[in-house]
Amino acid sequence: MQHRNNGNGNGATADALVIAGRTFSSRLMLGTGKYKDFGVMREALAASGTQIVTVSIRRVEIGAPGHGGILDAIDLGAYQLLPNTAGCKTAEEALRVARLARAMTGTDWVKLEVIPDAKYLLPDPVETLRAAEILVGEGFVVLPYMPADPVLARRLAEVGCATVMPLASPIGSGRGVLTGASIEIIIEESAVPVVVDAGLGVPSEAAHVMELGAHAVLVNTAIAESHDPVQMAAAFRGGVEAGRLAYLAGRMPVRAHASPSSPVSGVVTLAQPEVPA
Amino acid sequence: MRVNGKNYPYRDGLTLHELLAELSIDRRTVAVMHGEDVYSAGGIPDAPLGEPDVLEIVTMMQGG
Repeated sequence: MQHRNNGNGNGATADALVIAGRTFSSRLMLGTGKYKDFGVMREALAASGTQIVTVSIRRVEIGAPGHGGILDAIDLGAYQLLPNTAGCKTAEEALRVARLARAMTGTDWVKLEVIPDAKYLLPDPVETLRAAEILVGEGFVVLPYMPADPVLARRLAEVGCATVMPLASPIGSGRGVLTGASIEIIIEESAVPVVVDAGLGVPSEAAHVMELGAHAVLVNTAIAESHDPVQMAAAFRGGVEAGRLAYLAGRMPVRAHASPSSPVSGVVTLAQPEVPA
Repeated sequence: MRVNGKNYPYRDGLTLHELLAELSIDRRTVAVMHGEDVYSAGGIPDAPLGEPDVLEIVTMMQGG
């Protein structure tokens, strides 16, 4: 595991993300979907500095050899894999896929997604909570994708989820942070790390939620569909780091009126000002 | 027999290893759900199969 120097020796290097007892120096999780080829994906993962990557679990296509490309494409030992249950519409489906994911990847970690709606890909809170409770009981480390609902976040933490992952806006939409007010409450109240997942389009949006105190973000489409995914991965890394440092530094108060930055006394003035007083 | 949601011709004595070989699938690259039993990649037993069996054979893919 690499430890980055954040530049100014203010202790930020010791500022680790801890999920289910595992420690990470990066607060940027990456999805592996939508890259135009594995080479670009590999380089983007490296440029992002990520230590946690999501993968999906899918049926092998019968009669179509050559499956399993991602197994050869990434160094599985270099990352904490986070298999998802994308495509599952009910808790029952998600349970099956989670069990298969554990068998396939060897990790207990699962990004729980229960999404009945294809248009907005909004997660089902009731089925998500139900599946989460069962999976926690089976020993899974559950990271649930969820609507940005503070009460649901509390319930998911109570049943033993390792994080909560509220959405910023619909998956793959790039619409940015539409749920900011709710995410602020979730962050304020949460007993587990808050990972903002879905909808972020540019690094400033990642920086924004990190400034609010999010513990991490998960990004896929914004990097994979950018013109230069490797450069964008580096940009998101910078955005996440900037936001985290700003959160730790503590922002200035917001005021209704201006507050001069230069001394108010000793200003050189004319006896008869040319501008109206 | 149902394999990955499709009908598959069963024959007497067919085993899980034989089925995977018939499908040209490397046993180290997939996980299998046989009924309610889940087998890990690299740990798939040569279980006997039956005509009414339902199998899911999955692997790791890209995803977000």
